[in-house]
Amino acid sequence: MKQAKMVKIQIWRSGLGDVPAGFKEYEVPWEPKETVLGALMYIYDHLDDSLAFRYGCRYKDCGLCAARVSGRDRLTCTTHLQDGDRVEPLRNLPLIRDLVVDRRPVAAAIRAVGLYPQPSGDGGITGSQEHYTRLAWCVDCLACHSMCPHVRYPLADPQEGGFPGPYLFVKLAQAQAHPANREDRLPDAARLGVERCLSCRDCGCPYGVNLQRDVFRFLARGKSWENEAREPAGSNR
Amino acid sequence: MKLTEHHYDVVCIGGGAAGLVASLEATAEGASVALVSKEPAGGGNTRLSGGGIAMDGEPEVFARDVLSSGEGLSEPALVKVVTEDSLPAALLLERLGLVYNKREDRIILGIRAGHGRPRTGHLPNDGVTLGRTLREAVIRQGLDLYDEMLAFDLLVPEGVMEGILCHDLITGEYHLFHASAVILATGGAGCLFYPQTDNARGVCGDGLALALKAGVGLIDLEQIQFLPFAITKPSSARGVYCGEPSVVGGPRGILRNGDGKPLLDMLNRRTRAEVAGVMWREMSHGRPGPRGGLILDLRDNLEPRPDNDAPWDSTRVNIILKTLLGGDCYRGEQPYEVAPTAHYFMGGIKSGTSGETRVPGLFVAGEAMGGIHGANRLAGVALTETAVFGSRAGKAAATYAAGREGDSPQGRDPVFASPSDRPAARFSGRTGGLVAEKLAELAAVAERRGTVPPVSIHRALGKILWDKIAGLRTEAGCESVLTEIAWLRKRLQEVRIPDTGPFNRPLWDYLEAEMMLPVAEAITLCARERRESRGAHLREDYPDPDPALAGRRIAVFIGPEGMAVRWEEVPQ
Repeated sequence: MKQAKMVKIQIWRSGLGDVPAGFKEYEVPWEPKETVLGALMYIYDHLDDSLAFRYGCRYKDCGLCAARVSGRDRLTCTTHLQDGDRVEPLRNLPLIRDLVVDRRPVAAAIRAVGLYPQPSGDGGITGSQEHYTRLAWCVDCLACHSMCPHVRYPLADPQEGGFPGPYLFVKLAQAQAHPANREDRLPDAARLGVERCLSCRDCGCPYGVNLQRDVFRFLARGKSWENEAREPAGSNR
Repeated sequence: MKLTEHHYDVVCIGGGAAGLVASLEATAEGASVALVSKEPAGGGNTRLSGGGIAMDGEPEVFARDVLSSGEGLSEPALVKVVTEDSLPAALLLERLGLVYNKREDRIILGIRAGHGRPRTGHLPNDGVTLGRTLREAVIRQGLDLYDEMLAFDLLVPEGVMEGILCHDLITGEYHLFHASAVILATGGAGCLFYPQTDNARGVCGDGLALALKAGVGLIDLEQIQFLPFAITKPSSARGVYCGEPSVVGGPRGILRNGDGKPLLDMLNRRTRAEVAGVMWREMSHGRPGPRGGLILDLRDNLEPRPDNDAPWDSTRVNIILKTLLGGDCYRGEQPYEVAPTAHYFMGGIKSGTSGETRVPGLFVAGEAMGGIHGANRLAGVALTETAVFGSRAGKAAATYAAGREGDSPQGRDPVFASPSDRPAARFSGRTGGLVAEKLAELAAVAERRGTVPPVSIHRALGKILWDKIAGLRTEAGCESVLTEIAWLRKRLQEVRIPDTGPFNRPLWDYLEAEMMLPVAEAITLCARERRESRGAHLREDYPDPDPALAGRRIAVFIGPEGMAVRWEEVPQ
């Protein structure tokens, strides 16, 4: 069997088990198009099964494998591996272990603020099939949440500085854009501070949801947004 | 070892469409419900699915197609239910918030292979939308979700359901759910063939193993659907489905062996079975490619020809290749290696038309259930089945639990007794003993400090199953799998769990392996026993169907002598 090319990868270890806290370097095989997730799986299977990371589908549906790769928040399953990559957990969420963050605060906020559609059999008042379809590309990976400079939990009182971050606005936009939605959620968006996102360009969806247009401006401007929706995408990376 | 106790009427294991619908319906019937899910609920194979949902206002016509594809192994009573309820179930999903692709306010119905007419609805962003929508629905309903929680033991003292034992991946704590009804909505077991599967990580047959151990039989386990084309690299995406041969092949796609010799052309006119048959033969006895698969060459599609029906644009159908293999494969300019991938278990737990099993209080819904698809599954019917039987099992479980109201397990339990004077007439009081025994066993495993990483058992099992019983099966191949399983059982006694911290995946690997080995054994026994080829089951040593076996199926169960198989007539 021919010798595989090897590359080095640095992975954040949180200090549980026998591995001290800090970046730990591993050597993993590389071939063209190899992914960061492939490297993590190789380490787990062959080198060190105390490394904790999540994955589910291995290609872009489950949203579980997101991490910060060399400074960018990405799904590791679609991020090509490069020599010297540094892999860290997502930010703005409590850390459980190594690359595994605690998603429960986000789930709790979704429940607390009611960030889901209120569908009605009689047809909705605020949504559109086309807009909803564009928002359906969100796979809940929380990369945008990690990019946000303003996220602050708990959300209970926005006056106290609580700020939900972009992912929860995506959820709110999905609810608002749902074709059968019967409850206007723009007051919620205003209360949670969506205005702040209009002037900030720090987050972007790596998978093509146009956050500025289809989420923030939609939630901040309501009806007047409809004319803007025809403008080409592109304000996000 | 910390143990938290919960009390519910109904506990549903599995957070895909079947489990989510079952939980919602059980709640609607007034039951208190917990949904326990290995991934965040709304995940699993539901989320990875193509999002096709078959529905038909004329169930008899629909049923004829399902029965015909099942090659005599589909149970007519179950098929009747799934087809009759197909439209109501599709509309139930819409009431729960599901958005179908529509034109002028009508669901757009597509025609899929094997269906006599267009009856399959689709969703924006496919299964992701189905999973997310149903998760939103259970949260809206206020249901208790236990995400990233593994159910590894059913508590069935004296043959009646009393609860389940779980492990929380995040906290590392154990949870005991007392419940008089439990719904297994755990899906199939594609990950037994890892990495050669398009299934989600956790889909490794937990429910099948739990049912077997509880004394419930499994049927048609030899019938496993493989999709012909999955990519073979990058390593993390090996097994990820890359399209139907009839679609991605285009008019002039050619399948070649590892030496470049053409094996099959006109892929757009071939059935899945035809393509898979050629592939299995070449991969077993011919010259496969460097990764064990075959080479898909789409370059002829790009040549302009006078007889081209229409310009061929592979970029509409090869979307995943763009990211994973690069632009040249995406555009069809560069051949790439493909191999079949384990997709769906037609077989599963033996049950009645409301998902009830022979164990009182134990129900099943979704892919974990057997008997509907028989020897082949039509596209789009799996999601229909999740909604139809999720709904029926959820209602039946709630009704069953209501019938046992007043039978509180509290106060009857010798180990976890809490003061209570509520009557508990039909609970055995033996649950505590079972739990204590299992937890002591796990404590010993964690202490053992052996040498075997538990994940290596998954990988060794995946390799032998792929090598010996994925494609062309033989008597000798089945025997060698059984020998390997016996060896892996021994290895499982020598595992090393690195620590006891949170997110202890190696412990899950161990608990899962304990369930995967019996399921693998059950599949292999069925594959050995069916000495003919029928549907998805291909025997190299018995290449034709045996007329004497038509309409007969294999049940596998754990008897007094261990695991055994039994032939039975498919109920008509």
